[in-house]
Amino acid sequence: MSPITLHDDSAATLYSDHHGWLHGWLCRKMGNAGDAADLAHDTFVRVLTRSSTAQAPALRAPRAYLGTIARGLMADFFRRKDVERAYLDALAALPDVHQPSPETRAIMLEALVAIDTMLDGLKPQVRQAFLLSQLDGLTYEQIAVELGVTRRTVGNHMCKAIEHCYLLAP
Amino acid sequence: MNARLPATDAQTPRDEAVVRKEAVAWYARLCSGTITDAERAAWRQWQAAHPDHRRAWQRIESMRAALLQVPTNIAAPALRMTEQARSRRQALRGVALLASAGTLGYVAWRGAGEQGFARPLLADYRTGIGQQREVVLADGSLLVLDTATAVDVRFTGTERVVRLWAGAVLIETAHQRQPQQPADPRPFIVQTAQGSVTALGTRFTVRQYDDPLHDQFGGYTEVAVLEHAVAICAGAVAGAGAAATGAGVSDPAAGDPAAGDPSIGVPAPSGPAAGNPAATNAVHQPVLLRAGQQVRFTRSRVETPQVAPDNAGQWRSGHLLVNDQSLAEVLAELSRYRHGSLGCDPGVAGLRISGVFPLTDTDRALALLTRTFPLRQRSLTRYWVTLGPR
Repeated sequence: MSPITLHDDSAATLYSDHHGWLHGWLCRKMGNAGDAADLAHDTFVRVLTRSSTAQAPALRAPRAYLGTIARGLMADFFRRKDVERAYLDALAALPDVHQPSPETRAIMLEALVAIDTMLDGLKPQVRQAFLLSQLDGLTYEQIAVELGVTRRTVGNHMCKAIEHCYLLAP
Repeated sequence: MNARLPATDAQTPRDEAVVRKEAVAWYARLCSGTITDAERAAWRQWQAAHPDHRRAWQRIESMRAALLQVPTNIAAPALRMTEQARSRRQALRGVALLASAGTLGYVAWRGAGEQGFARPLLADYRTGIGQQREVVLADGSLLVLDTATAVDVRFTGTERVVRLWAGAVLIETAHQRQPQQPADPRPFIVQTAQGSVTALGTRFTVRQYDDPLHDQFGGYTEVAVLEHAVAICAGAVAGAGAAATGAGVSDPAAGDPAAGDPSIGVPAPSGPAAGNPAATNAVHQPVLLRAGQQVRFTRSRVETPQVAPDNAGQWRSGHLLVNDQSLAEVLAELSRYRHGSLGCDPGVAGLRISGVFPLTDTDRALALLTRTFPLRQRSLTRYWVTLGPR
C-alpha cells in the first residue's frame, strides 16, 4: 500500500468522524450493507493514498469529497456487476465443452470491463451499430437494415464510435 | 505515390486531430463491407506516406485489439446485455431515455477469429458468413474458401504461400488437377497461426480454429488430407511475408511429386503414430500426413493423426453431411454459416442426428431439423435462435 501522507491524527479523525456516515449513505444508495461496507473501505483507501495536495479538499469539506469519490466507485461497481452478470449469462448459453477455466474467466471479465468502459458515453444506437460491425461482422448495409436507418447514418455512427474508442483505447 | 511527397513532408509533424480523423475515416471505410481494391491500395499508401499516419493506425490497432481480447461470441451478447441493464436502471431512476431496447435484442456470434485485428479485413480473398468462393491461383491450383474465411496469397520465385487468417480452405494443387502439366518446382505452403502445411501433390483442407476461450493466442489448425500427402510443421513463423519455412520439407517437396509417397526426409509416422500417446513432435520437425488422415496441431505440437471423418472437405458441395453426431455439434457447425446465435436447450443437446443439411440456406437446414427430429425452434429475432424439445 502506498504511504499514508495524511497526518495520522487527521486520518484517524476523518475515518472516525465520517465512516459511519459514509457507510449509511452507501447503504441507502446500494441497498446492501456488505457491498456498502466494501465501498466505504475502498473510498477511504482512495483518499488516504492520494498525494497530500490532492487530499486538501478532504480536510476542508470531507463529506462532499468522500461522497464524490464514493459515487465514482459506485459507478464502477455497478458497471462491473452488470458486465459480470452479462458475462455469466453469455457463458451459460455456451455448450459445456466450451466453458473456460476460472482463470480465463477472470481475465475475460477484466477485458470486458475495459471494453465496456471504452464504449461508455456512446449513444445507444451508435454503440449498437459499432458492436454489430466490430463483433458481429455485419456490413453497413446489413446494419442499416437491422437498425432501420440509412447506410449513411451507419457510416456516421461508425466514425463517431471509432473516434471515441480511438481516444479512449488503452 | 508517396514518392510524390517531398522528403521533408514526412519530417514535418502533422496536426494530430486531422490525422486522427483520417485514420478514423479509413478504418470506417475498411469495415463497411464494400471497400474496393483501389481503396484498399489507397489506404496502404496513406499509411506509408507519413510516420504520423502509422502512429495513428497503431491506435486503431490497439482499439481493435482491446475489442478482440474476448471472443466475440461472448463479448457481443455480454456487451449488449450490460447496455440493457444500464438502460433499465436509468429508466427506473426516471431519467429520460431513448434506448428502447433496440430492434435487435441479443445478437451473438461465434468468434470467426480476427485475432490479428484488421488482418482478415484486408486479406486478398475473403468470404463473409455463409459464403463460399472458388479461386484459381496463378499456378493453376484451386483454392476454395469456406464460410468466414480470409487468406492472403503470396507467390514468389521460390515458393507459393497461402496465408490462412481465418476460416477454412480446400486446396487442389496444380499438379493434382493437371498431372500432365510439368510440375511447378516451388513448394506450395499453407501457413496458419500455428505453423505450415506443405502440399505434396495433393488435395487437402486446412481449417483455422481460434478457440479463443482458452487464451488469446490459443487455437489450433486442423488438416485433413483427401489425396496423397502433406507435411506439417508446427510452430513455423506466421505472418505476412514471413516466408513460410517448411523446414526440412521444402526441398523434397520441390518437384510437386505426383506420387503421394515422396521419399523425403520426413519421419513418416509408421501407421497413425502407433502406440505413442504422447506423439508430441518437436517444433519444426515435420510430420507427414497421408490421404484419409486428419490431424490437429498447435504452435508447439502436432497431435496424433486420426482417421479423417467421411465428411472431410464435404463442405465444398454446400452441404453438411452428418452421421450420428450430437445436436450441439451439428448446430455448432451450422452456426459458422449463419449470422447470430444458434443454440439449443441442454436437454436436447445430446440428441443424435443424421442427415444432409444445406449450408447455403441455414433457415432451411433448421426447418429440416425441426421437421425430422422432435425439436421446436424458438427465435427472439433472426439472429437469436434456440432449438428446444417439441
